[in-house]
Amino acid sequence: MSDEDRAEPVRVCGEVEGDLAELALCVLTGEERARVVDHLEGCAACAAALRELAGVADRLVADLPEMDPPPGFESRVLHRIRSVEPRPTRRGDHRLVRAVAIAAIAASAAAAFVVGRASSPSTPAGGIRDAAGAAAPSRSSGLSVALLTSAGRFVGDAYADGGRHPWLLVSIDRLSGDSSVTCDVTGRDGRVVVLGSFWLSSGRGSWVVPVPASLGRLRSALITASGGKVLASATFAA
Amino acid sequence: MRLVGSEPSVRATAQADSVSDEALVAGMAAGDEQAAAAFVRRYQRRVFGLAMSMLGDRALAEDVAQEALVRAWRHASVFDPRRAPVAAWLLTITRHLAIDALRLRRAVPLADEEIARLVRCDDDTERAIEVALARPGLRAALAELPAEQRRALVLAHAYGYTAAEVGRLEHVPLGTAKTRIRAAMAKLRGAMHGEKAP
Repeated sequence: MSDEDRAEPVRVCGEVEGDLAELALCVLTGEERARVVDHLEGCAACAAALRELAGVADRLVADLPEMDPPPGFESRVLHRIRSVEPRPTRRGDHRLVRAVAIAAIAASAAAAFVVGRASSPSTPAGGIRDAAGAAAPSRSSGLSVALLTSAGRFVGDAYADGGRHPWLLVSIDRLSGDSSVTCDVTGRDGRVVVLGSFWLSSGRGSWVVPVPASLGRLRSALITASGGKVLASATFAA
Repeated sequence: MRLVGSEPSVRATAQADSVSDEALVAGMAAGDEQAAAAFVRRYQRRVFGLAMSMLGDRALAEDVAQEALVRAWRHASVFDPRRAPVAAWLLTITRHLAIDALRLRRAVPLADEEIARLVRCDDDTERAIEVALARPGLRAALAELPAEQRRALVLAHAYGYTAAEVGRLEHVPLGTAKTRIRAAMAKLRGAMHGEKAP
């Protein structure tokens, strides 16, 4: 719809009140929806009313009885997922993935949790090569610190959260080759804990992993190759 | 993600199964297929149940349920946990797809008897109501609605009809159809808040 064609925005709440229930039920036509949404952007009262109605609509489906899908459903879905990359990421979405991970971990910190990615779409964990390859890593964003090789070359970053359920996000996108690496961290008291082994594909990968709370604030994180060679390290502020 | 060591897939899968919805979506946003597998296992029965309730056709419901889960995978990176719970997000995707499927099916004009069946709110539709409103409080509130409001709500909610389509089916003006849908929703909202519907 061109700007000229677009209807005048609605300024009077009474003009959209009758549409809010239909918007919550997802049965407004596109033009009607655009008109109402325009109004909602500037009207907190109608937006609040819509949230309530959307809550009703959500409840209507939330309590539906579960039903077993046909045999093989799960494998058919997963087969399709393997053939479809996640939504193409744009430059900068690297940070979005991290933000989602951070929000997620905050919500689920008590659970044993590992999330990771590798960069080749052909690998089981593939699919966000664009993000890893195109993103400009954030070298300093609060708790984020650079992962550097012994020669001081930047290869990725690490983000440590020291809340009640500490966790660590590691993102590497400038190493090379397909290999497994080990990630361990050192606490302030010098204790070292191995967090796990992870896969790098074409030198890229990332993961989020819980850190034992007993370690306290982290001093450093270390990435080593399977042969023991140190690939990169990050030092957290004291 | 690929964990290495003994039985990596078992270990990773067990971990993925124990995490929160939000963590699984974060994993999917990061391209983690094990998170996706856990997500599918966790939600397939709800997604398929919703699709079946709306479509009443197992083959079509499977298509819709598959597509909903694949879309969740593709769009996980734009999921915002501050805006909606994961379940509401996923079920909204499913419902949109089911409505699209219903509308496509309606591209073939309904036979008169089909229209009459829908408007009559007969046994099938009553069953859809029962299914759609499994929560006792809402079911009771629905039962208290005037029949024309209940029909309008079911046609919109369970069958995805717009107010204009509801009006045509019910032979009432658009404004009347809108009022019926709005009134029904307002009463259910009241029921959700534990209030007596006005």
